[in-house]
Amino acid sequence: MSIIYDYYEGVKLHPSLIKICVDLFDKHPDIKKEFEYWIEERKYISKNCVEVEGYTAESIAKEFPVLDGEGAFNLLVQLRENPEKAKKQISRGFRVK
Amino acid sequence: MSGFETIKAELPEIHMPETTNDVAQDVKFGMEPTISEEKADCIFNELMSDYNVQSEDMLIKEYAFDIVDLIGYSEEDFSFDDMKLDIDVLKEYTSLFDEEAWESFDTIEKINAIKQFGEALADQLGIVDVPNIEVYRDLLGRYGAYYPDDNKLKVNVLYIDDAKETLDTVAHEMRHAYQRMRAYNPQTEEDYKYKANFNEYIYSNANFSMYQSQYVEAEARAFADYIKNL
Repeated sequence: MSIIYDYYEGVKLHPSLIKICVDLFDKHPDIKKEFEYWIEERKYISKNCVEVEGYTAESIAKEFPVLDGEGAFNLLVQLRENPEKAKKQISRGFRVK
Repeated sequence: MSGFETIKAELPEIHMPETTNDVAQDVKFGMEPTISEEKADCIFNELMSDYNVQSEDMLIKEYAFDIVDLIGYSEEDFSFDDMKLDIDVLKEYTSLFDEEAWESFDTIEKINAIKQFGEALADQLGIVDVPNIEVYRDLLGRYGAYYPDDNKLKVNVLYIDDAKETLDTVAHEMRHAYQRMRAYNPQTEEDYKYKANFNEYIYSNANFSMYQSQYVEAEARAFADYIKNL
């Protein structure tokens, strides 16, 4: 399959949802590449990395620790696809309850 | 007025289906009613036609939901205005979380307020088996959790100085307790959504945006918002 597919399979995401996630990252190859790097190295690319609406994956992870990892890349995609909605979510905060 | 007419006058008018007239005639003339099986079925179906409709309405429908249909929700998708909650009773307890009152409480008093509010909310939600409410220390950043296996509602002590956040957490987790109760014995379409979602629950580490937008989480957040704004 793919690095991203294997990642989601590893965290036990439902197969139907994995397809949605993989398709989502396929639409954004630059973010996908950084996510794949993070999956393999558990490190963020800090030089010439993708920036959307002033955010990078690393800055998201620093500001919102619960998004560290997959969540940071997912938010980058959301910021690109629907910036208003993503910013509204950022202002609400990200809590695990 | 004959005895027969008196009784007839006191009886409510009963509409008999046309097909029963022949049988009624047979009885009137003191004859054994002769009726074919086919005719009997026809009469029975006519008489029961209204009841059949009622019993179909009473049937409990089972719904099947795919997890794909249970993501993409937000707080705005839910309304609790039709819920039968005693707002005055709940306000008595939510007032404990007013900033000024909360700041005057020590940790023990805060924990007592959390328990009192949680138990009152459970009562309002019709939760039969009221969860045990506890505080715990969680360094992973979770505000609270509901554990259905041992029916425990836990609030992270690291955040209890924030009154509104604590109120939100208790209401959110108690809604999960309600959802679990309904999912355990589903009766309505919504109950089946709870059940399907819990069967394929998405954890925050798997995909955060799907975790947030899944039905049970978005609904619990919306419910907590509703309670905070009473």
